[in-house]
Amino acid sequence: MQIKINLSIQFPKDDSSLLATHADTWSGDSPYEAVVWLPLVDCYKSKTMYLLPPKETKKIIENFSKKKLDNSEILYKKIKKKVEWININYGEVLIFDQAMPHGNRVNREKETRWSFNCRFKSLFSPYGDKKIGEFFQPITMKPITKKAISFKFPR
Amino acid sequence: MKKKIFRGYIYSREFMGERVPQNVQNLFIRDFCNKKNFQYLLSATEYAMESSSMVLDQTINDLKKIDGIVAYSIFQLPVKKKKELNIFKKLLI
Repeated sequence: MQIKINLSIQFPKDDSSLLATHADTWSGDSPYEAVVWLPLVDCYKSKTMYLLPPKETKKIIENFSKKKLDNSEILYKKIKKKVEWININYGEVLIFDQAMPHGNRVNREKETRWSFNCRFKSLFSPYGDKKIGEFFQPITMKPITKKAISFKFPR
Repeated sequence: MKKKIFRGYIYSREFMGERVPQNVQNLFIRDFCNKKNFQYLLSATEYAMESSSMVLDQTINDLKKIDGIVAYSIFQLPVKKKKELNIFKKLLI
């Protein structure tokens, strides 16, 4: 589990803390992780985030470098009509594959969006740029792992 | 006096043969901004794809709204000469 949980605050009309279209795996995260996104308020329309469905993700990542995407805004314009805006209420949780492109736009609603996000992975799955100890910590070890850690080779 | 606003810029791939954890890059940039009395905005993280500077290009396009960019290292700028020159022109001229 991620050591520090991220708190995200999106004030209405605030364009200073937007996350451009990205998949976490494009920024060094391992595909062997899932993101848990926990809203603290009801999220809808521009107050929520968008996700690009897997089928569309596959299309965009094919020949990515040949698509002449000069910047992340051009990428957003390219996928704008294909993204899904997630309607999610307080008390619900979204778990998604961080290989799916996602992001947010300026919150045009009247209320602030408050949300937590946190990554989970299997202890022995491959790590990306975010390593165990500096970004992840073990929280649940299986009995065989606990046993193996204390293993001593006979002398 | 109104504080100047700077956006952080960090890397998710190696540069100059070294890897710096993203949280360490952010710590460094935040500390620099504090010392300079700048308002720090959430860092933009460059895509890990080889030679990508899409996020940097977008951050430069958004410069009208802020006073500048603080990158962790000058070696995070694009290595293709033409591209590098264009970025220097946009940033310095």
